[in-house]
Amino acid sequence: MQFTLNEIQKEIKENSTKLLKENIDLLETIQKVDDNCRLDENIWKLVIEQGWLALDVPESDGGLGFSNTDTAILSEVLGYYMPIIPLFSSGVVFKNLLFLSNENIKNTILPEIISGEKIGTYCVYENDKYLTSSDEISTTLTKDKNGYILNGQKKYVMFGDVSDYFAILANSEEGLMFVLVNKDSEGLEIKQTSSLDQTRPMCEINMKEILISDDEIMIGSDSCINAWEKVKNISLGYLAMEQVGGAQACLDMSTQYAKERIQFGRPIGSFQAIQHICANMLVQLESAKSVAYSAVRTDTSDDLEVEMSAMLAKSYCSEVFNKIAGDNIQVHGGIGFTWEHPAHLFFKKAKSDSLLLGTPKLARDKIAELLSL
Amino acid sequence: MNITVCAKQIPDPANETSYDNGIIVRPEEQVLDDTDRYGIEIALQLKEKYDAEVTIISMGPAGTMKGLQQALQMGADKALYVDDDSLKGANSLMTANVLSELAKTTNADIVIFGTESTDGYSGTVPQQVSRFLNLDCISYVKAIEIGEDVSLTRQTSEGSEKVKMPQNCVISVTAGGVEPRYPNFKDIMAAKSKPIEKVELSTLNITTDQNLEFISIEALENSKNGEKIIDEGEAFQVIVDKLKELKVI
Repeated sequence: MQFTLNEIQKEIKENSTKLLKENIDLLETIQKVDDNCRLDENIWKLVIEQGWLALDVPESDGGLGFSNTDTAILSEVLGYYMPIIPLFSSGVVFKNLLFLSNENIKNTILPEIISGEKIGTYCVYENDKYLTSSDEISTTLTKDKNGYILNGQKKYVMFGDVSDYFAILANSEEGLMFVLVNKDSEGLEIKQTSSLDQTRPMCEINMKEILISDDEIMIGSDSCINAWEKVKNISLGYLAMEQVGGAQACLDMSTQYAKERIQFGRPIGSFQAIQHICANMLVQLESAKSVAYSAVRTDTSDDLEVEMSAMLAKSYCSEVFNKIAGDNIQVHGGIGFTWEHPAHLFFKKAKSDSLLLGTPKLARDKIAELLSL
Repeated sequence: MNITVCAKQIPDPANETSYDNGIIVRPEEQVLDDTDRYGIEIALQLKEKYDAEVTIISMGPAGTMKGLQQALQMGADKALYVDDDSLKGANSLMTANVLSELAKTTNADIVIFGTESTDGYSGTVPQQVSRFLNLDCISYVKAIEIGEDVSLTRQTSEGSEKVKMPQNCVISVTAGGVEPRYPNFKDIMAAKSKPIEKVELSTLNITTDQNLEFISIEALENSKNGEKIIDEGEAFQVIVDKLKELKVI
């Protein structure tokens, strides 16, 4: 296993960093979230033009054919600058669901997603247990003479109000299935909800008697659970990279401030208490980086290995990002607690990220199960 | 149409620059000077209009050629460079001589520069190259409009002026009018197979001598601006008065 970035990966990191660094100012992000911005269209346009959404798509599917690891580097950079764009929901989770969808849906929708022409999102959870077993999913898909009828409610739908397509996990007589719903479908109601991490606006969706044709079954009951677990585990690797990027931003912010802020006639970074905090942040971050990179470097054909590394990444990187984002506020003192300082964006993102696609506790339970403990 | 853009590789401005006898110490890995991105952008817009070929020319230690790669990633077609120890610390006239000779090898119709390099700041090379090539020089170009004709907007001390672009000329481009494009990943990969060719100095017709000698180099003194106000309960009033004096409020 390679532990350093290769030349291509360095170029990806360098170019994506340059793009976001030159176009994102966190103070403006604060203003944007204050104005309830639901999508930063300028950044989204730039990201689309750069081909970020096509990077990990095989050339045979119209993509650029880069590896998961190469692409996940973008997530690390996104975590650092946290633009308000649906790269995770559309470019990672929804896109990976498309890879496992029926050929017709994949061939029709994938080009629209990787070109950025359309945005997709996933609608899986209905409560804060983040479980996807059949008895936790009350959204129903009932067989009808013309296909199926979809009813139910989904929570935590990321970028729902700006999405064109919704991959909805529903319970049918045959078992769980993913169905594709268009934003214009009759019976679909999208409601904005407040989000802890305002750079990932959330929605709640209500589905009432939505007609679903057989062609709109993305993933049938025979493979739905396995497909979702695979997509979730791959996505958790990307999420871990975002968490590492966010934690790195917090560490950089802290060390910079520790050098600049003068108290008692000298920079606060000269005080041992601050030095210890910063040193511990670095140690934790480096460990988290190893775990996150390991998750995105795992061979995706090995389901067991992917699951183990994803759960480890989910558990460890969530804890580390939360700790470092909190420590960042402590290093900054009073200013770090104000709305005008970006520290709160990272703090809230850390908490919110740790709840995406399941909690750290669920991840640890899974690890115990995999180890037969 | 052949468009030639002069681009310089410079030490990454994010790092501290170090000097040896007045000469910048250049690391193996140098980056494309940001000021040259504006010139490359103008060239690429012309290329899209006229289906031209864009060649990057450069002088200086090639190192890893990262800066040249970055220029190719933006969309230039090929790069030529001269890297010769005898050019270390070359003055602007010598640099202009080498670059104009390089430009001749590309049969350039238009030669484009940034206004001045970020590490050298002489700001005289474009004009000197135009003299070597016996072409008009249009300086401080900040924007280009491509319609039926091509017109250039020049920055002037009092505003701007629009001029019609001649078929053959040397242009120096200043920042602000065009937005240099970010290379996408397809372009980044494509750049790896674009040709980068070293040209031997001995094959060029160099007629000038190096006649500039560095005597000393000094860093800028720290700014002494700013006034310390001790707050004894009335500091806000002093600040308000100051802002009024500066007509800020």
